[in-house]
Amino acid sequence: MNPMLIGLIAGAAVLIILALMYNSLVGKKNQVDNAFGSIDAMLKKRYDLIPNLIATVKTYMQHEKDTLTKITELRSKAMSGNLSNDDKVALNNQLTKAIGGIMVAVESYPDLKANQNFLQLQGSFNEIEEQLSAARRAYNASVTDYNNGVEMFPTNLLAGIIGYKRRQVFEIPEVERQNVSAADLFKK
Amino acid sequence: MKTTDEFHSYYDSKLITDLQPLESERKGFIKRILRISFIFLVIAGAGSGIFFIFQNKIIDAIERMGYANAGVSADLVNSFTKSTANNFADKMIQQQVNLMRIEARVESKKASLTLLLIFNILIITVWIIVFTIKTARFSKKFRTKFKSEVIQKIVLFIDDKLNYRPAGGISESNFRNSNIFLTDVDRYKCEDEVSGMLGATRFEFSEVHAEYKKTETDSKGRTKTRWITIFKGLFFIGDFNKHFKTRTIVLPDNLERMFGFIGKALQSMNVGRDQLIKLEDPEFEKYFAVYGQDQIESRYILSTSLMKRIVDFRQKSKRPVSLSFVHSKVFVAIPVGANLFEPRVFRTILNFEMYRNYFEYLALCTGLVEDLNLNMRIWTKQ
Repeated sequence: MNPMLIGLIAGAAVLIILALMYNSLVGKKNQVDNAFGSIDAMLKKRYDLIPNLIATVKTYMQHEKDTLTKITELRSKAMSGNLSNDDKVALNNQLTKAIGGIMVAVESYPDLKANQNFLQLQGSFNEIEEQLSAARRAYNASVTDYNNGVEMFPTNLLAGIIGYKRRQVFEIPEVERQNVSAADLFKK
Repeated sequence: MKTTDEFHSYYDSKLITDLQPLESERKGFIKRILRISFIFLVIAGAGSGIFFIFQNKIIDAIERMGYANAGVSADLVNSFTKSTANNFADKMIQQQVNLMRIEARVESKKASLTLLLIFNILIITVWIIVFTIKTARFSKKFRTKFKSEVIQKIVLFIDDKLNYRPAGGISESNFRNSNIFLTDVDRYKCEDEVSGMLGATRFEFSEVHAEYKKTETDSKGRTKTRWITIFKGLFFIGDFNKHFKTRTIVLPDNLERMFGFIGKALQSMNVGRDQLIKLEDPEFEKYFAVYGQDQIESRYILSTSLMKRIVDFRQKSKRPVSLSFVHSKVFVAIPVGANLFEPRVFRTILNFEMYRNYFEYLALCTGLVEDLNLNMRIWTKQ
C-alpha cells in the first residue's frame, strides 16, 4: 500500500507543478500580446491627431510640403490593416521621424510657434509620444519577463516542449529623433 | 536656487544682526531663572543652617514629645537618673532607665534629620515646579517669536514669493490621500508650512508627525498605551506636469537590496499594494520599489529622465524618501528624525550650523520643483 500511496502523491505533485509552470508561461505570453495591443491603441490615437496637425501647419509651412505629404501617405499605409507586426512597427518608426522633423522645422516659423492651436497640438503630440514610449517600455518589460520564463530553469524545459521561443524587445526610436534634430540643424 | 555659501554670506551680513535682540531676550530669561534658583538655594541653605544651629533644642523638643506620647513623664525620668541609687534593685532600675533614655535620644535625632530632609525635598519640589512652568511659558513665547522672525526671513531669502506659516501644515486628508503610508493615523501633528508658486508649479510642504496607537493588555489586565511613529519629517505636495488617472507609489526598496531577485519576487506579493512595476533604470530599481495601478501610466509618469532625477534627489538628500503620484499631484515624504526649526532655550542661538541645517532642509524641499523638473510643461497640462 505504502509505495503506491507515495507514488500517487508524487505524481500529483509533479502534475500540479507542471500545471503551474504551464500557466505561468501562458500568462506571460498573453501579457506580451496585451502590451502590444496597448501600443496599437496608442498608435491609433496618434493617427487621429495627424489630420489636425497637417491642417494647422499646411498654410504656414510652404517649404515642408513634401514631408507633410509623406506623413499623410505613411498614415494611410499604417492604418490599412493588412500589415505584419514588423511592417507596422517599421512604418510607425518612419512616421515618428517625419513628425519629429516637422516639429523641429517649426523653429523657423515664428508665427506658427506662437499659434495657440499649434501649441496645444504640440502638447498633445508630446504627450502621445511619451505615452507611446511608456507603452513600448511596458512591452519590453513583459517581453523580458516572458524571455525569463522561456530561458530560465525549470520553466525552460516546458517552454521547449510546447514551442515557446524568445521574443525581441523594441528599439525605442527616440534616439532616432535626436539624430534627426542634429542633422536638420546642420543642414540649415 | 540659493546656495549654502550665499546663505552663509547672508547670515554673516544680515541675519546675525537680526538675531541679537532675540539672543538678549533669551539671555535675560536665563539670568532670571538663575536668580530664582539661587533664591531657592538660599532658602534651603538658610533653613538647613538654622536647623543645625538649633539642632540640640529641636532634638530636646522631639524627645519631650516622644515621652508625652508614650505616657511617660519626662520629669520623672530625669529625676530618677539624678537620684542616688542605694540598693541593688534601684541600681538595676537606674540602668534600664539610662538605656531607655539613650534609645529615645537616638530616635529623636533620627526624627530631626528626617524633618530636615522633608524640608529640603519640599523646597526642591517647589523649585522644580516653578522652573518647569517658567521655562515652558518662556519657551513657547520665544519659539513663536523666533519662527515668525527668523525662519520667516530664511524662507524669504530662498525666494521672496514664498509664504511661511509656522502654525500651518499639510492637512491630514492630503497626507492620507498620498497613499504612501497605509496605516490608519491616530494622532497627527503638523507645523512650519511653506507654500507658494515657482514658475507654473504650485506647491506646499510642512513638518508632519503621524502616529498610531497600540494598546497592550498584560496578563494582569492592565492596559498600556504606546504611540508608534508612522512618519516624521518633511512632507511635500506639488502640481505634477502631466495628466494621469491612476496612482503610482514609489517606496524605498529594502527587500531587493537584501535579497536580490528573490526580494523582487517577495515584493510582487506585497499585500495591500497595487501591482509591482519593474523599471529599466538599474540605479533607480536599487533604491526604490514601484507599485502602480496601470503598467503603462506608471511608465508614462516615470520617464527615464524623471527616474534619473529622482535618483539624484535621493542621493542628494541622503534619506530614504518615498514618492507618490495621485490626482495629478506629486507627493514626497522625506523622513527627518529631529524636530526642525525649534530654537533651544538653554543654548545660544548664534550658531550658524543650526541655521545652515534649517536652510538646507528648506532649500531641499523648495528645490524639488527644479529637481523634478516640474516646470517643464510641454504636454497637455499647463
